[in-house]
Amino acid sequence: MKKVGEVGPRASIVFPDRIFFAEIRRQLAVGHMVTFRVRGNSMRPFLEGGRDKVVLAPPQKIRVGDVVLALTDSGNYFLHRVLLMEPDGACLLRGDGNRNGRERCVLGNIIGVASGFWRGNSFYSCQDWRWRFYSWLWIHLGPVRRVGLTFYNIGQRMYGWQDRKREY
Amino acid sequence: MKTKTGFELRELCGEKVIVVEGATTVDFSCVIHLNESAAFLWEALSGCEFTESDMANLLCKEYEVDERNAVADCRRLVAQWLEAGMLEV
Repeated sequence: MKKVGEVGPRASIVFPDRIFFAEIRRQLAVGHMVTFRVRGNSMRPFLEGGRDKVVLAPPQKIRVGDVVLALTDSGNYFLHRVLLMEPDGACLLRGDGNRNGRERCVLGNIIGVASGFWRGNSFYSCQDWRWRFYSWLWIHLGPVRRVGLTFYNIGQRMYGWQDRKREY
Repeated sequence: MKTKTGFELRELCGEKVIVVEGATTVDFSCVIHLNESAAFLWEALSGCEFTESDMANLLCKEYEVDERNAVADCRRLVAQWLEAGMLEV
């Protein structure tokens, strides 16, 4: 006979990225839409880690400006925006909130494309013109973006949302 | 009561978890962790009408536990599952 475990809430589990994203990849590969809570601040100012959720769809035609989940050449998973598509099929990604950092990935390693975001009970669709305008602006702002981000981050540090570890 | 459809038991990293799944959507933003005996009950009772005493009977058959403790544990488990919205009453 087996022994029963303790009933009641226990410390939350944190799955390693490799396992978590492999499961997401599997679900997207069979055509499901997948929702998960974002982590980190690299997609500021729109997405805040621990607060907002992303809804991903299986990738079809990828365009510059799309927010994608990709396995980058460095072997890490990122939910970042496509900044440039190179003729050889490689994609250059950058987090909206990253001042300089960029990642490269091959088209085949784009696992999903954001179709919208949840912030509390509000859903923001990536088809909406306001999101498209924001995306366009964020790519084309150039150095103004970096200055804006600096002020935004200072403001966040003083008054803003605190990022939490992703816990389940 | 009955388990709600769409709450699927999965194994991730050796842990039993409940993930909310629709016909074409999977929500990983709210994953519920079950221990081994809770997962056993969920699996055995999925899709069936059941009571707390059905759960306790199942527990007593499978696990080394007396009936009084099994009933008390199942009552606490049902309260937690109801709070998490996993059951239809």
